[in-house]
Amino acid sequence: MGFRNKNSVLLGIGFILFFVLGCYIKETQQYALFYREQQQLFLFDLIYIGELFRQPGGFAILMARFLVQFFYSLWSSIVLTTLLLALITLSVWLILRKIGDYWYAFPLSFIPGLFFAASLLDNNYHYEGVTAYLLMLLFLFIYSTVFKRNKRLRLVLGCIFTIVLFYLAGSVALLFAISAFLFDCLKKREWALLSSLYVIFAFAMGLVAVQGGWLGIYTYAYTPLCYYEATVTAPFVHYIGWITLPACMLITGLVGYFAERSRYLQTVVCLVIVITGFWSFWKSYHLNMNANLGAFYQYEYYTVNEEWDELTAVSAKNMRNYNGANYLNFSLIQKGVLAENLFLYPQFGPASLVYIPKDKTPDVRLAHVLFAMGNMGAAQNVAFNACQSLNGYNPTMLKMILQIDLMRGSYAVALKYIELLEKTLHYSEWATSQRKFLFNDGQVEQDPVLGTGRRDFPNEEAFVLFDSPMDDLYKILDTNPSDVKAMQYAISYLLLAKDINHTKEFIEKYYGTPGLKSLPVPAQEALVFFYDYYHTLDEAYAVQHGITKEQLADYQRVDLDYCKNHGVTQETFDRFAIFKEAYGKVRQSQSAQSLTQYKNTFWHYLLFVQI
Amino acid sequence: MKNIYKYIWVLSLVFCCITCGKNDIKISRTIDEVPVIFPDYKDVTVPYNIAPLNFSYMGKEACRLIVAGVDDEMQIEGENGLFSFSGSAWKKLMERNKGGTIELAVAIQTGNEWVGYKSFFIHVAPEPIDAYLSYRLIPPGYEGWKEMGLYQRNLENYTQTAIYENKLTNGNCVNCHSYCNRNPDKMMFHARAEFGGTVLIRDKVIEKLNTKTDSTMSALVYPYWHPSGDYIAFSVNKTKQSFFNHHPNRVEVYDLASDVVVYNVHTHQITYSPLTKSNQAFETFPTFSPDGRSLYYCSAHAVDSMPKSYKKVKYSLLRIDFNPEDMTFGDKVDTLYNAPLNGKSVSFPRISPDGKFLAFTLHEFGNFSIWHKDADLYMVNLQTKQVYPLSEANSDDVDSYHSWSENSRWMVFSSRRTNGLYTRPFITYIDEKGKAHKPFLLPQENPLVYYKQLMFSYNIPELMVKKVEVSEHEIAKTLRYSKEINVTVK
Repeated sequence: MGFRNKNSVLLGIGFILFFVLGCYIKETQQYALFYREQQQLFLFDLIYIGELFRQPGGFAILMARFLVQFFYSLWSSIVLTTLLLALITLSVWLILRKIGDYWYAFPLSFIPGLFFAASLLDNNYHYEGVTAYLLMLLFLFIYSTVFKRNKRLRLVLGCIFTIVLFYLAGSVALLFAISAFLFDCLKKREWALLSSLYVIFAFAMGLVAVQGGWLGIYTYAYTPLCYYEATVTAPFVHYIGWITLPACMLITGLVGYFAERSRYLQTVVCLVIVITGFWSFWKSYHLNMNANLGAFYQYEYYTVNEEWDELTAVSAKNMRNYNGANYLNFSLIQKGVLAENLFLYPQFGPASLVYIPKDKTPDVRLAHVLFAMGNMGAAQNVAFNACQSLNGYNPTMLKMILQIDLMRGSYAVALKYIELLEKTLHYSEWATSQRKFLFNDGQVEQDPVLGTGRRDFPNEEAFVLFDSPMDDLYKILDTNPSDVKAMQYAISYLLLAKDINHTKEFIEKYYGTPGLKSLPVPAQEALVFFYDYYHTLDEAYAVQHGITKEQLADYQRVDLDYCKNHGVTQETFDRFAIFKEAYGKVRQSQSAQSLTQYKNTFWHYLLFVQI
Repeated sequence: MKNIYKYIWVLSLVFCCITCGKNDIKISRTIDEVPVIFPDYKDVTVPYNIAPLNFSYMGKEACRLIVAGVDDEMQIEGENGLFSFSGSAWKKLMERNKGGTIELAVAIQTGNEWVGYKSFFIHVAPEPIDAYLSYRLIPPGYEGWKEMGLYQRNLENYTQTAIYENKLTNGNCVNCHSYCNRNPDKMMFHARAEFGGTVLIRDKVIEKLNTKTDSTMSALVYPYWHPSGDYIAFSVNKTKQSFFNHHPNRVEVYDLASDVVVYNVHTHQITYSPLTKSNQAFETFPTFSPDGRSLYYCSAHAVDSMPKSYKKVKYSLLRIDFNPEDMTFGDKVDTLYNAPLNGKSVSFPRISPDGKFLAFTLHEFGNFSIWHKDADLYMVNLQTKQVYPLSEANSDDVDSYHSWSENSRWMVFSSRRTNGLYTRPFITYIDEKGKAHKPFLLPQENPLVYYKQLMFSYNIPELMVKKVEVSEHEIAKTLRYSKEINVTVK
């Protein structure tokens, strides 16, 4: 095959493979890449850029943050990441070609890039791990190209590159040093052994960085852990992208050795290596894939972009835990149908609405839910904690904090956040649009979101999330009964808690107010059940179970007229009559099969779902 | 050689042209208004060794600053409103006007004329301030953080360096830095969470302490060094925090229980008095007198139903004898500020090194004053026992943690007056009568931009007579790898 033809074929194969890689990234990590954007702010500000540039590895961080800021769009995240991996592969190929122009070794150059694709599945792996690697490859390519005949200049250049690379990109300098040394040895360049100086320089730089207090431990100075979240143990897959570069260089050298003896053997060696490489990649991909996290990134994408129907669809399909249930119900509240559609989906108690883990520190989900509930004090606390994310600020959480500060009338702090967001590309317009609210209570109160939020601040001073979220909801609604979302969350909370007594009290208090003009069907079902239950309850049994005669009389005050006056329709009464009859039969037959048609009702949830 | 001289001469001429090229302006008329500037350095009192007080004129017009001292005058052109003093000119100005006053007039260009605002003054005290200020930089929040660190700032210029940053120990929490007599040769701080322990440094020897014992409710918390350097008084606290639904204070940090103990740095033992470790009281924020013979602390009647009764917890200011020879306590307690009687609560008692005054923070209830908008600085004259507010230093927002200078003339304190959330250090002059003068915000090269962009709060500002010299790496190594010394109870 001629040189031009061979290159054209390789180029064609390369394009096809990168199209496939792009599809793979789209399928596996488009939402994870989006969430990376939610973990940083890139500021177009000289002081910010200068500060990043001053720290070792800062240029790689700068490159990464610059790219990641565009990941708010799924397509740009896929295109940019694929392009970055393509550049890595191309650089590896160009370097390998200098060792030996054996096109059988072409697939080898894909292996490091593929492992970086696997590394990116893990959000604890910083994106600068990829940009630093690319920078290193660029330095290595230049090193392999210039001063071919001048060994002294080459040596000086190698040393300078090692030092500069350590400063620009961090620990990849050691990989550069090893690879450059290996390259010189494989190419049998003059003074090749002296190139081991680069390795010594890289170690010396690490020593300076650790002793100077820039890095905590030597592991960060010499390994890919430099680009990994310090508090988490890194899986081995993150080392493979590094190991495979010198390995590929060695193998290319070996392929050359075999090529001189047997073309058949060369092909076999290449095939074995490539198959092993791809198999390891496939294994590592499966090890790194976290289904729960993958779903979370997707929920966050739809939440941040306010695509509520999509959020309902994906979270309903995939209710593995309370997180999924919270996002599902959150999407329903945003569409205004939470209370009405509550039992169209599986529910597992009040935690399905708002799950509060012990460590609520980085919980963006909880911040969204609390904000929707009108619990602004709690939302601001959780959002502030969640804002301190991987690389600075979570922009969505920062926006939430800013809005709550506007609601509070803390305008000076709000201005601080506006000025910060105005330095970003994607959020500056939104930030500027918030300026009109500064020091202008009238504008805040007229705004649908900010005005409602301000009116939600309870009159009664209390700590938030102290007992249960319902206590906070009571206080919010006491102050602002026209907050429809808080109203729906409250009534849903009581229904999911199977608390028919408080549901009845709640309806009594709020039915007919602006937030509860009509009674959602599940609440009607609860009220009818309340009426039926206390009217058929044996008095002696009630007393035996702690209900006084006066209480029972009070409960029995709820009659048909009461129910009708509080929003229960005839249709609900009729359905209840049929349900009651069917339930009676079920109790005799011990089989709940015939009640499956009622599984979307409060009655079914009350009697058959354990919480 | 001749050529070189010629070359130098030409260069000097060019330099002079660049620096002196702009003609001084003349003010055509003055208006009876003071200019809006940031930081507000109008009529503040500053030490002569402070870094230049650069500030910004907040208007949009072209502006000049005319500075007049005792025997000279200079003009500074505003760059985007910023007036930057050159280091040498400022130093000269301060030296010449030590003990006196400099007059500053901001002029703005309107059309072809320069209009002068009403001038204001900066008073230059003859007493210097300690050369360094240390503090923790943290997000002003709640529970979460990513980066935090202890830093030191040279007050004579703008250089800030790290004492310790949490990135070296996997982002753990570092807090409660404290120095013996403002000298960092003897210092300590706590590290919490991963690689936790108390770091104690004495003459570059670093120890890591495990300060949790079976007899105390928690690890050691709020420290204060004994002037001898042999002891450190600590509180032990069971602390919680809760968040308000709407209160402007946002957060309430409170103790469920607390005691005061004293730690011996040589024997690694702690001791206490039944009077400082009582079940009927919450004792906290200990501080020694400069002679080392008195231990001051805050104490409130214990309240069972915390946090519901958080407003009922009011801390008095108490004093007990301490005998440094045998590490024993007196058997009676004096009350300097009686909280039940006066209705307010005391935090952070700090005595001036000359022993004449005791500064503290006073607020409505509780002890964590940084989240109390009503918190203000107060003083006790220890000779007359008179208690009074430091009105000139206080603001409508939080004024809290404070630290004295070596010469007892300066006090740095935390304040949230600039935006209500992000704490900034202010420095106030305390005259011989114990009266505070108008404080000034810690100077920066470009304070407007710097403070706007800084997303951290200054926490626990402590003045130091010199720089911390122990390397961050040595501290990190100790935290990561050293065997802990277990503190025991005597």
